[in-house]
Amino acid sequence: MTFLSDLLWGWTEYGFMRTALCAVLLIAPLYGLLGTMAVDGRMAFFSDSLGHSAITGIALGVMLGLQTPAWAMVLYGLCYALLLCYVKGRGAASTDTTIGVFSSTGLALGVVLLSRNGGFAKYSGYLIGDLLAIEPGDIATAAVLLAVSLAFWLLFYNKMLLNSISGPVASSRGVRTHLMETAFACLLAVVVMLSIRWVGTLMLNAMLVLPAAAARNLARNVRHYHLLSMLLALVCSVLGLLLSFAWGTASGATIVLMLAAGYAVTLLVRSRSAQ
Amino acid sequence: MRKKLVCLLLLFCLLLGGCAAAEGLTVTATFYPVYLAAINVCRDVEGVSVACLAPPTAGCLHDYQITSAERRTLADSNVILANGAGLESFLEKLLPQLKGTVVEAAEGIELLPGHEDEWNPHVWVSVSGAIREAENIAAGMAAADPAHAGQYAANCAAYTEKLRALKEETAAALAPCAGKSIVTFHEAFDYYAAEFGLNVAAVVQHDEGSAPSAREIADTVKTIREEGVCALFAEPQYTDESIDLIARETGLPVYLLDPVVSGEADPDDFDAYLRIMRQNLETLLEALQ
Repeated sequence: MTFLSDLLWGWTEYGFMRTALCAVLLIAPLYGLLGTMAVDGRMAFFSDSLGHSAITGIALGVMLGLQTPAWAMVLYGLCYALLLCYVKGRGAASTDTTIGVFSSTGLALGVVLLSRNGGFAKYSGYLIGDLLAIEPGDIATAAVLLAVSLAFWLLFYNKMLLNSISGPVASSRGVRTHLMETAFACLLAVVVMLSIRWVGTLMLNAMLVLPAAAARNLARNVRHYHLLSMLLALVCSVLGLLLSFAWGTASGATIVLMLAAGYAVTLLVRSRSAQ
Repeated sequence: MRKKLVCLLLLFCLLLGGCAAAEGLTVTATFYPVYLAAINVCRDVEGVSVACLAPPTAGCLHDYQITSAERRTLADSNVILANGAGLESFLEKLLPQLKGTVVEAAEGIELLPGHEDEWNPHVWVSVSGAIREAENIAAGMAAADPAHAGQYAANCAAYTEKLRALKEETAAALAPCAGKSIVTFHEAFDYYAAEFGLNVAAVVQHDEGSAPSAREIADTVKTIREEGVCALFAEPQYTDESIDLIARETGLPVYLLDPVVSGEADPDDFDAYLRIMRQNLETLLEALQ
């Protein structure tokens, strides 16, 4: 009974839960939208690597003595994305190998820098993130990120889709594929770096990939796919946040679990309708 | 031939020199509060050098991972002074491999329960605890280095004298605040509160290194409202957002209390503990009145 009351209205009397809910209402569709683009552009692994290497960004911020290392992290994320896009086209190995190299280097460098004083345990919070740490002022940041991502989507989605179906065709139609990919990578980098404190490096990719993957199971067309991805992200994230309050568990991980459950349900629905 | 001989001679001299330097007693304290007690106990004792293992920024040593350089320092130490009571979890695994004597400062002190089924190791934050720890360290040093036993005892007596004065001063100043409820960042001030009659109504962080869940924060907020807590106390070593979050939720002011776990390991800064604890007292008086 207390579980139900906690889940339904117990949380409403706490300001931090209301703030977290507002944040989730913005962040979930943001990740749902970016996720579809990342999955279509085969950049899911890229975003994962960005998340892992964000540890280095945090370490740089801590070393420079910034109270909130956000600016150092954004700058670092942009450099990382640009460098990775540059190397990706040039190295002998396949893309996922190159990304793997970058990902592990970024993670290792971050851990080395942070463990310099033996206190890595102090920063382990960044691995799973803390959604509750969102301050009212951060909501504005999340809203701006969502608006920018929506604008990017409206402007470039058709071109990105064409590119993901066939690069040469896209090029022949005058789409500057490399530039577009780089722009998307930069957008992703900024979003990841600004939200990593809330989402955490280990949970980030799940937030990005799961809604898109689940939406793919059900979507009938491209528009439907994007809408569904954002909607699924929204519903599962809100449910996850409230459940984490009722259960007393970590918010980020509970949300990811709900997203995974959403994926399982869509998979079931899909196999039902295929029969 | 002559060149070779000269080389050998030089090498021999070097080795001798090395041996001579190693004759002194190398004492390593695991972290800052133990270090502060140790430099007082070993003050002006011939041939004894005290080092601090963890860097001054490490804070409490929960879940601390030692670096290979620190592992080497431990291996080269004749005496290792630890707080004990489960704080230095890294030390337990190393014990069989260490040649030096390990002295646990919290030995024999009655411990308060900590979270889950562990003991609360923050004994030194209460002044009585700091006195007992200094005495244990002096006894351990005397056993490891009997030649200077008298000096350790005298140093310890002089230091604990100062600590007793601090204790009386604190008790007198905090007497009007007896029974008041406070909320601290982690369980560092339980011994201090018990000593001076304060009530720690709740702690913000239950598990080291992980942010409290929404449920835990909500429970803390509830306790604060029910028990009429008047101030929140963060710690300078942790930049955790959850205490700010609780401050916004309850409208309570946040003050800083230092559990004396970080500072420059300066071998001549004998009164650092007293200075930091007096600062804490001032903060408490400002917050509670």
